[in-house]
Amino acid sequence: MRRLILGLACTLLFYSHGLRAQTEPLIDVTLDGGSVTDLVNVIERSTEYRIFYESQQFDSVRLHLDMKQKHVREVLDSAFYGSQFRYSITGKQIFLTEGRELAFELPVGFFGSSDQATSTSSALYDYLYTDEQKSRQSEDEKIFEVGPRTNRIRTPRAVLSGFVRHSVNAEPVVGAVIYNETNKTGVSTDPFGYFELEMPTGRNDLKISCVGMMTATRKVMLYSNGKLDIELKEYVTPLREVIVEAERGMNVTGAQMGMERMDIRTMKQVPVAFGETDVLKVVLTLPGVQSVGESSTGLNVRGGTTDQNLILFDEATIYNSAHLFGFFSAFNPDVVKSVELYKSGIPAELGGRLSSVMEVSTREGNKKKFSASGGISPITGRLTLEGPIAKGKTSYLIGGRTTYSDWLLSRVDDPSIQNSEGSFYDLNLRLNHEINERNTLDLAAYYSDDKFKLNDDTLYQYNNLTASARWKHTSKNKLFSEIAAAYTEYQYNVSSDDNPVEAMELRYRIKQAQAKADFVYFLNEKNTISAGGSVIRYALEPGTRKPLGSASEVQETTLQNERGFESALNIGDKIDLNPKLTLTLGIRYSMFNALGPRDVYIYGESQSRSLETMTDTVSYGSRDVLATYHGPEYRISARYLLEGNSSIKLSLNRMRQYIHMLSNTTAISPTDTWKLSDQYIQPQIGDQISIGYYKNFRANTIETSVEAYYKTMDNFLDYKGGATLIMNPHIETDVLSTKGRAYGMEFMVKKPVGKLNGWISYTYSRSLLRTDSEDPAETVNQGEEYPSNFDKPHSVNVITNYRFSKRFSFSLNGTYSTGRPITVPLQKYEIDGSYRLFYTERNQYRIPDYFRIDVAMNFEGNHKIRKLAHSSWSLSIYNLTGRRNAYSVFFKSEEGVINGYQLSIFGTPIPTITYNFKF
Amino acid sequence: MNRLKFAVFVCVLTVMAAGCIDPYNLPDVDSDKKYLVVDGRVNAQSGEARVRLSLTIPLNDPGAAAFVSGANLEIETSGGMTFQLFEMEPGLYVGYIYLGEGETCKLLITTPDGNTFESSSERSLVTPAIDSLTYEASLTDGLTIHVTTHDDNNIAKYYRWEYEETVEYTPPFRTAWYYDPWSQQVFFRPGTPLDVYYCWKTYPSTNIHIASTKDFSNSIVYKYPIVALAPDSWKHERKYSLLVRQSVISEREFKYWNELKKSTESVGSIFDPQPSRVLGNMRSTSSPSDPVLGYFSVGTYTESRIFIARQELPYKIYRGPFDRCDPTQIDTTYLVDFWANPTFYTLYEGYYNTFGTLIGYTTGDPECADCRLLVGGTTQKPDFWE
Repeated sequence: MRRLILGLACTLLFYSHGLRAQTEPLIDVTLDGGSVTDLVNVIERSTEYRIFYESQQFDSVRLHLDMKQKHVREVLDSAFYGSQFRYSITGKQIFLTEGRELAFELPVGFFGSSDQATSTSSALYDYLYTDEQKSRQSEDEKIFEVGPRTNRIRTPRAVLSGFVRHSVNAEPVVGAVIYNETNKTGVSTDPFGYFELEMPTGRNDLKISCVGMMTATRKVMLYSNGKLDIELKEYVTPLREVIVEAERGMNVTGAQMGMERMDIRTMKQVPVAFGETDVLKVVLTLPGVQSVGESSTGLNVRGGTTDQNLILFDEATIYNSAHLFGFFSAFNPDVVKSVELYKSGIPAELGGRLSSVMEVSTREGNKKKFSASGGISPITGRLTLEGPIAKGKTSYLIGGRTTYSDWLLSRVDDPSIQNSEGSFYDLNLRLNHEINERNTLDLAAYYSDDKFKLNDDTLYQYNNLTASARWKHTSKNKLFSEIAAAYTEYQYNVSSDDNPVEAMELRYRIKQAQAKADFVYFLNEKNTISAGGSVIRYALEPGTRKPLGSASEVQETTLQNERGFESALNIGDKIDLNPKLTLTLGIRYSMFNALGPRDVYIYGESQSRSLETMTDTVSYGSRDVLATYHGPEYRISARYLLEGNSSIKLSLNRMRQYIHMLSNTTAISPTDTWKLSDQYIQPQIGDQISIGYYKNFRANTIETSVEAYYKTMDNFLDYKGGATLIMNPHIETDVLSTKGRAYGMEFMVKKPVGKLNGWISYTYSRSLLRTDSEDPAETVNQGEEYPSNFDKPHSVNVITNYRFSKRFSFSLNGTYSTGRPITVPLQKYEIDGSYRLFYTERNQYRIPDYFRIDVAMNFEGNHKIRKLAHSSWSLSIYNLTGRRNAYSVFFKSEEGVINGYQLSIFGTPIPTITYNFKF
Repeated sequence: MNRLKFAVFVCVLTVMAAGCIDPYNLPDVDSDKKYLVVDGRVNAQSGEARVRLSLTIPLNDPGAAAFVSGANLEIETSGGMTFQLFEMEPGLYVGYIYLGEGETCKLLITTPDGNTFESSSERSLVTPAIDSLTYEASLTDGLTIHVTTHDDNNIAKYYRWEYEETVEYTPPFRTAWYYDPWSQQVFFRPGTPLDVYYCWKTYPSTNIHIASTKDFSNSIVYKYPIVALAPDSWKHERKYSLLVRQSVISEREFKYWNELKKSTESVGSIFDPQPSRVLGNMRSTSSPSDPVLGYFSVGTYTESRIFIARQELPYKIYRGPFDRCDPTQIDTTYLVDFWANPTFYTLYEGYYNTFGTLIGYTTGDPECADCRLLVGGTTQKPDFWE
């Protein structure tokens, strides 16, 4: 369609040219080494034409002309023949340009139908698309007319929509901010690079910025709803200063609060222990996000437990996001494009976990040319290949990563280390197909495999497998829809074969299939309606123990499978009541059905559940529903713009969670299992209210925010002392229902741009729990409130990056937090001649405070754009001061005596050199 | 079992030689509350009942456990009989009971402050004989002794073992003479009670050793590693003997020992469970909310012993406690002066001139020649020693 319009446009131009030629005056020109200015003077003197040009561009041009009675066009043709200069004529105006002609719009509305939006931008887009040498400057200065031109502008406001794309590979630019400088509103692009921004009709100045891309400006004359596609150039050649912009202005003007978005470029600046950018480690530096310790990738968001985070990798749920004890995260940095973390104000279309939603999205492959990138660090190697399948339309991206840690371990001259193993690999595949302008199809797949063994015969292995398909459709700039389906499988197995009689294998598996549909409808200037629904089908195989080998005496046992069905519908309206106040009213109604077949134990009434109070077993068939839970989840937020580039935002959230991780370890362990809600395990319900104040200084170059929150959590699981969580057929006898509450304040100052950039955050937060049980024998700390494992009241993070030159930058990070609570034995006692410990009050003491400084230096190769391979080196030192930060403190009975120990994961500075390349 | 290895693993990963585990001072915890600890067992075969009563003490109290004296202890059987226990030494109550076939018994305690406690009813389980004690030794891993056992009737599900290690050892030097300061004479030691060259020392087990065969189709324990000695352990320097005492325990008792082991021995990994208090089968009847620690165990026992001589092992032994022995020589003429303070030095061996005349002695620290001093063994050869 677009091609046709362009074709028509060309014919028409040609035609009008012909008509005009007959009436044009003829001129005489004689120049011998004259300048362009001389030529211009001749033409302007003898005709009605007015010539517009940038005189500096032409000052080196010398013309030799001797023409009599020629048309202006003929004169210009011979003047600029063979040069890079072009001219364009419209009406009585002539534009002289360098490199290419200006494209003039067709008369707007020429094709009649007004819902055609306008061909202007798309014709222009095509035109520009073929010319890579075009000057960005002229686009920035040009006025784009959007919508059918009318003499009088009919509506006071209209919606401008379109895609922001990468100028080289046409990949959508996600999270680019389109900021209307005229009325100080802004919006950021969605995962497809799509944006819709409502603005007053008439003249608007837009600024489009994104991390790692050159900021572009567009001057738009908006007549009515219409479309404008924007291409952003990658920021390849740092000029005098680097511009690293993340959502400039959005933290004040956007309606969303409690959301952090990070681009892979920002993440790559943050130093890490083993030289590989780690998405989760960077997220941990954000205010409100904590973990129990150094090697734990489990996130505790605003006082929530680690299983309360929904981690989506291209829409598919990831159950184990750690590699190699958490030293690496599941996400290959070469494939990842960005991360979004919602801590509050979670949109109604997302749900299923109590504390947060983290969306990790991968890049699309390069649609224009093949390229490869990779890196080598002391422990891992990575390689990513990408390229077009159909140029401009379809692309692929394949990424892989593996470790050589096994090889390293075998080199160590220590038998206990040689007997250890620890390795992983992961693979990513992404296919993207642009069916047409309005439809995009995306396929993504991920597989990871981890193995480790710690100087004994027990081998641990786990796999993540995900696949997802997304279809995005935009119709008539008003309705935007996305339909996605995803499948996730997570499994682990533990095997031990040293002792032939005890040789066994333990397996756990969770399978999840889901489908989701989201619609956004731009009803009018004031209302944006979003609606959608999702279904998830769970199938869990909670455990199978099998003998290994014929001599094994292990009896094969399998726990009953668990099945469940989770569904949700959501609807919301974003209401711009006036330019200052925006309300987002959303509701999600979710329902969970625990499904048979299953035998369920029945326990005596009004007693705590235990084997002693078990009275009966009831069998449910495969069509029976064991238990149903449902309820509304409110998602309400408001933003009010204040004077002086500041705003306040408020949000109210309710979340429901139907799947729970069974873990009584402090950190996420590879043998943690997940359990669906059933008769006994109630869904977790969490409420959060948060309020924030946001202010930007110095033309949005300094962003500040303060957010405060209060949060309650019901029915989350704690465990009786000595509970068995693996291969336990009646887990309900070992769990304690617990209530939690958390509150805190997060302060953040961020300088996203400039030579010196980074952020400083301080968080004060508390996370407190209380056992919800009548039985005093079961309650933790006599039913008193006690701090959770990750209650670290004070936390400070400083992330800074200073770019000394185009090719050298330096990063320095500092982290401080209060030590996490631990349970300390109060007393000891003697049994059989050995001292044993008596633990009473849980989490009443704290390990020493945590403090760490990391530095990194990045050296880039030269910046010639056309070069076979771009390479960079990064040198980082993790834990520069070598402080032995305690990961845990434990007490042991050894030879009958009690000794206390402090375990630190990284006890010395860890230098790492990483080499990255791209071609 | 190898949880601490994790830290080593990480340290190596990060190219470090030093470990990442540092000592941590025990917290100064003020806790005036004291709880009763009952450490009791009945040997159902012999009828002997031994119960130790003590109180918990603060974590960093260097003193011994405070025993509870003057309590009244009775064991009540389901056969309707009550047996009184008597306080043999402070805090240790001993008595003999009769437990009929299939009968249960429970322990009743009244402490001097009038509080009453009781155990749940316990019955003894039949303990099969130990099939074998075997060992494996290698230069890298040292010596590991394994227990293998099974129950023909396939009833036993949970096993517990305790052991006694007995070590025969000698100091690096043999003192042939004994200088008596009273008579100022030198006596020849070997063959007399003055000989302090051969010693034996017995160590009780300090760790908890249990195994479950619940998930097995037959009650078989194959090669449970009960003792592991490092290659440089001085314990197998001459001859080593291990006596293993086996008993079959109930599921509840297994859980008790297992939790106790998990919370006090197998800690220190990054995947540690939350420590929690571990309660056994005792409860307070006078104030039910007070926790009572320890376990009252009723059982039968079988035993097996293994001897391992140094010659059977593939490696040279590192002389652990004795490596600082550095003898000197002394002439006979200076002997009396030198031994004015006789506790400092011990004569090792005589040395002679080319004509065979005794001209002096090698001498050094008494610890390097008197086996009783440094390790604290006895020169009395145990009855069972082979």
